[in-house]
Formats: sequence, structure tokens, C-alpha cells
Amino acid sequence: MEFIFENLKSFAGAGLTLTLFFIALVYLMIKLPKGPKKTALVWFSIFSLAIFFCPLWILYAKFREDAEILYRILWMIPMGAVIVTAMVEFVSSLDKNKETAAVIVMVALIIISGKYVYANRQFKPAENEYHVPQTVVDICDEIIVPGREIRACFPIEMVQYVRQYTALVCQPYGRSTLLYGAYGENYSVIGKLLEAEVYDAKKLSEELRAADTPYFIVSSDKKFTENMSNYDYYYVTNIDGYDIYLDNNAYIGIDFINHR
Amino acid sequence: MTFAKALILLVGLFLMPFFLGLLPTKKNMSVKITWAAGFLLEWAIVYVCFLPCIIMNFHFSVAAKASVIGCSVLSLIGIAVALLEKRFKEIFTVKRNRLSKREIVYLGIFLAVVLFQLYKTIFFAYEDGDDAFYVATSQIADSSDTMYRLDAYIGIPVEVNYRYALAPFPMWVALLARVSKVNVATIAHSVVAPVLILVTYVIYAEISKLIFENDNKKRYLFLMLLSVFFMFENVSTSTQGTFLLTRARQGKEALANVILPFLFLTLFRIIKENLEISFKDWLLLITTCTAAALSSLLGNILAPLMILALFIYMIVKKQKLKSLIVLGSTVLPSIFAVLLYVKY
Repeated sequence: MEFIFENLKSFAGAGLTLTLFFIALVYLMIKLPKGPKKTALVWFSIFSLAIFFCPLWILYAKFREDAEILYRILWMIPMGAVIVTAMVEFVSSLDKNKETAAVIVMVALIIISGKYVYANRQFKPAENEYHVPQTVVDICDEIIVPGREIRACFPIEMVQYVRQYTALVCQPYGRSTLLYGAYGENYSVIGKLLEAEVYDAKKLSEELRAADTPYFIVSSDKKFTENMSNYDYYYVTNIDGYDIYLDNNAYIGIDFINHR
Repeated sequence: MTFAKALILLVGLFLMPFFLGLLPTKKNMSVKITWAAGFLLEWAIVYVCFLPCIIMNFHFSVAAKASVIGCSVLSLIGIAVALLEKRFKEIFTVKRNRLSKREIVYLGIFLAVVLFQLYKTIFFAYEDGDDAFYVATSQIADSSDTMYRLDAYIGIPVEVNYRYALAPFPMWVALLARVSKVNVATIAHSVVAPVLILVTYVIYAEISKLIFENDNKKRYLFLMLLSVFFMFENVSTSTQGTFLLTRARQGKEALANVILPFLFLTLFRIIKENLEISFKDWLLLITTCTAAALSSLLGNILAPLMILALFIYMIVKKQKLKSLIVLGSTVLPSIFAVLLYVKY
């Protein structure tokens, strides 16, 4: 049963929204007369909770690795609708002259018990309609070769955006390499090499070449053990503080000089 | 975005869902909920067209063409059915209700909050790691014409991961990008996300009608509080509110905030209508289960579980065996999807 409660905890998080829901459920159970409204809001919620707390999920968790998403069973309950219905019923049960104050208290209750979604640091003003950092867009536009795919190694902070903007740019390592070291040696090693304070130019160029990666994009502040050109990766240009290197031995399908 | 592209998106996201929605909805249902129901049918069509193509390794274009043809044909049938039912006259009859001061305040705040949420969704980027998979999967389908055969993160050929391929919601996003010729990332983040937020509120507005019937003051207060509630439901990354305002472009979000609430609405309505399941109800339920299969694998469990609740209620209320069989048959798409998952 422990993992069921862990799921509940991960769903409930740090706020008191779930507490508010249980209070609302009890209130509606007492307040609402028998009928479709009570069946849908109260009994259906209890049915869904019973499914969520069903001990049979223990068996499921034994055979499956994704038992941590069990909390999604709670999505069956229109939790917001239940809480807010209870609030509306409560406000309506008061004298008319108390309505405004009661509504303000209800809004305050929602605010206090919850957490403001837009206070999340993951929200940032969009730099473009793609919701991808403009630097990533500019770099991709610079290296894309019409009609074919090209592989480029981006800094760790950019990997999750590149292929959202264009699938014509492939990568030697991606989010899954960072999350759980996927894809086997060549692909994972590069991700590891980029975690170093000072980049090992020799090793990096060898691994990039082994993973068929002609482009290497790196922050201009990054330090290398040697110049990348010693290993045939030549500086092409700088975009928004990121240097672009190109493998001199790679054939990218067109005359690079004319292309630029 | 040029005018032509905007027009195509307007048709794909507003006009076509409305025409499609005319098929599984009843005569007395509002324009807004007809539009929302159309999304479910559009997703069901996309699921039916794309799934065999994914399994048989057909090109994305083949499935895309089949979906466009399917949606267009069913839209025309929807229009024809509505004409036969003489629905358009009712739809375009404007009902004017005089609102009280308080109703205007509640409705005004609600609309302002929703506008604020749409503004935040369009002009603010939410950094969600899962987009690196879902949006890239749509991007690959659109540009390489293959489905689930290339790794989303790095682009190397891979074996199909059926955990994701059997719930191909990203293909719907890719389809919108293909027909409108707009970048997939734009479609996902700046077009689909705000539209799905609107669909969610339309569904809850309809739920509020069932709860409070004609009491507009209560309904608008409900909607006002609900819109605030969603903004403050960010107690964890797992709640419906958080998904709605941060990830309204992923299949999981569509399941949590469109498909399951719509199913709740339908079941609630059936209970209110004395447990009578008409052909249109049956069509709506089967469409919902198919749309759930497109959105997420878990949809194949959650949608039938919700229908099971009604099934049990109908047994308690001693309904006829025929009605139970009719209701039971609506989960067939989910059973089919689960069997496919077991096979692959």
C-alpha cells in the first residue's frame, strides 16, 4: 500500500488542495439531496477514490515499472468542479448581504491552499512563436542543409529544444542520454565529456567523428585542452555567444563556402 | 503566419470540429459543446487512420491524407444530419438573457482570468522536458514522413516503442502542421495549447449547466472560482490544473482536461436523463473511448473505469440487460487498444 500513498503524496504535493477536496466532498455529501448531482459529484468521486486505493494495484506495481503514475487515476475525478461546487453551494446558503465577503473568502481559500502556477520558474517570456530559445533557432537556421539531415552537438542546456524546432538537425546525445544514459557508447560518451570543466579537444573530436557529428556548438567561454582546429574542427561563426565548429573532413552535401 | 495558414487552422480547429460535433451530439446541445465534442471525433478519426499506418510502417502522408478525407466526409455527414434534424435554425437563434449586475461581475472576472491564461500560454514558454519527446515526435513525422521509426531526441533509427506509438496524439499535432504548413513547434505551443484550454472551459461550462441548471449566477460563480482554482492547483506537477496551464499540447493533458471531463459530462447527463442511452449517446461514448486511446495508453483504462461506474449504477437502478450491453459495448475501442498493446 505504501506506493499508493506515495502516489497520493506526489499528487497532493505541498499544498492543501487535496484537503480542500475532502472537505468539499464531505460538505456536498451532507448538503446535497439524493439525485443525479449527488451521484455524479459525490458517489462518483468516492468510486474513483476506491479504485485508486484498491489493493490490487500492489500486484500491478510488482510487474510494472510505471506504477509511479498511478496518481493519474485521480484525473477521473473533476476535483476542481467538486471543490468549487461546494464553495458555490456554501456561498448560496448564506444571506445575500454576506455574498461578496463569502466569495472573497472562497477565492482567498483557493489562493492560500494552492500554489500559483505562473510563479513557476519554468515559465519564461517566449522568445518566439516556437517557444524555443531564439539562439537555438538561429544556430539551427545557420547549420541546416536543405534536403538532408545534419548532426550537430549542442550544449547540454540546448539539447531539449533543438529537435522541437527542426527534425533536420540530429544530435549525438539527447535528453534520454542525460536522463538514463541511453544509446550505447559513442552517443553517451559525448554527453559525459561535455560535463567536464575543461573540454578534452582530442577525445571530444574523436567521439564526435565516431558519432558522425560534423557540427560542434559550444559556449564561447568554454576552455579546451587544445585548439579544436588541431583535430580538424574549424571555427565557423559565433551566434549569441556560442561558437560553431565544423569538421573539415565531413562532407555535408554541398560546397560549404558557397553555401555560406 | 500568413492569412491562408491562419484560415486553414481556423477550419481545422474551429469549423471542422463543430461540423464533426454535429454527428454525436443531440439537437438540444449548445454550439460550444458541439464544437468540443467535434475534437473527440476528430481525434477518434485520427486514431483510426494513423494506428494501422504506424503498425504497418506506412508514410505519415498516407495517414494524414486518410485523416483529412475521413474528417471532411464525416463533417459533410454531420452537416447533412444537422440539416435533417433542423438544428441550424436553433443553433443560430440568439438567446438573449438579461444578466444581473452580479452575474456580469462573475462572468466578467471568469472571462478576464481565461484571457489572462491564454495570454500566458501564448506569450510565455513553459520549459517542460517531455516536449523534447512529444513535439520532436510530431516534428519528425512532418519532416521525415516516418512515424515512430526515428529517435525523437537524437534522430537515429530505432525499433518502434509501442508504449508511445499506440497513443499517437503527437500525430494529430503533426497533421495540423502538415495541412497548415506551419512549424510543428508553433502549432504545439502557440496554437493547440490555447485552443485546448478553451475546450476545457467549454466542457466545464456545460458541466456547470448540469449542476446548477438555469441558475446563471451560480454557474458564473462556479466558472469564476474554477478558473482561479486551476491557476492555484500547482501544488504538484500532477494535478489537472497544472497540466492544463503548462502542458496543453500533450496527449496526457488532453486526457486529463478534455476527454475525461467530457466523459464525466456525458455520464452525468445520462444519469440526469433517467439512464436512457440513445444512439447518439452511444456514439459519443464510443468516440470518447477512441479519443482516449489516441491521447494516452492510460486512457484505455481510465475511460472504461468511468463507464464502469455508470454500469454499476445502472445495475443498482435495475436497468434492462439490453441497456447494460449497449453501455458495455462502448468500451470496445479501449479493449482493442489494450489487446494491441499486449500483442506488441
